[in-house]
Amino acid sequence: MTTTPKILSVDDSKTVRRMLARLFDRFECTLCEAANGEEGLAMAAWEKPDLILLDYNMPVMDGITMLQRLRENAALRHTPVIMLTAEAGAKNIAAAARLGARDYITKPFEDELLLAKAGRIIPLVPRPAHQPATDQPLTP
Amino acid sequence: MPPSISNNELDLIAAAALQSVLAGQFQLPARPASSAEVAQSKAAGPAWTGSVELQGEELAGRVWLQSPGPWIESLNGSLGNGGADPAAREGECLDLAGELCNMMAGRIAAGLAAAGCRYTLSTPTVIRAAPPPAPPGGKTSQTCWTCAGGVLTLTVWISR
Repeated sequence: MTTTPKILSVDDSKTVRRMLARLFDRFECTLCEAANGEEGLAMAAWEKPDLILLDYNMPVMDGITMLQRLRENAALRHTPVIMLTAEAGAKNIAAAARLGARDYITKPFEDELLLAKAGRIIPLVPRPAHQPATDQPLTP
Repeated sequence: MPPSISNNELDLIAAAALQSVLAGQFQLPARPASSAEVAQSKAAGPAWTGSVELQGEELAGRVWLQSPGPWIESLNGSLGNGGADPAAREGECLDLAGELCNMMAGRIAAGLAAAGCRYTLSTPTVIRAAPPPAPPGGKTSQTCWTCAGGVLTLTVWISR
């Protein structure tokens, strides 16, 4: 992992990508974005993220297909993926789990839950301007 | 044969979905709108209506969320969007209207699954108008909500 963790958010909704960018802007990490699974694969190959936040239903290529392709790619197959999606069906959750998704969060999502789950995978160190009131940095 | 859901159950599922999205994700409390508020909202100008299809093996359904234009624009601005370019703002509002409906549809589908009816979601579509009438037959829930100065209408139709 690079010194500053890199997160790739893959979601066809700019609203969600914007919300994630604002959330993770509080921490010392970089965030890159993709609007569908096809772009996500290209971005993952280029950026080598430390964590992917992946939506399920997207045009062009959906999240499960992207997850499958990640697992078929020797360079990317171990990239941790958290599904972040409005789909809450058991079949969808099981499909993601079979493909090695580390976790599954349904929308609407609690910021603190997402941060806790992401923080188990990558270190989330607050930027100095956003130091929590407790002065305790978030660590996995 | 999938179980049947009562109209009252559908209303409750829809209400829970709307409140979990607005309050949970956007910190916007909502309450049922009065008839006066609903009548007044019709003068607010063109609405944004997001729509998501519920796709089941033996069932069909759809969710529509109608939101007032100014309300969507205000929420868009509060998310840090709403720059100088009107075309970009329009695109952001379209996306926001779709994602609000998408999130609510997900919660509605989860509520229906708990009652034994399983659906997956389509990607959302958005129109700059009121929603079309629900298909005939099946069950329809339509509820109106006041939230942050706007009146939203959530309509859920299921085929059984």
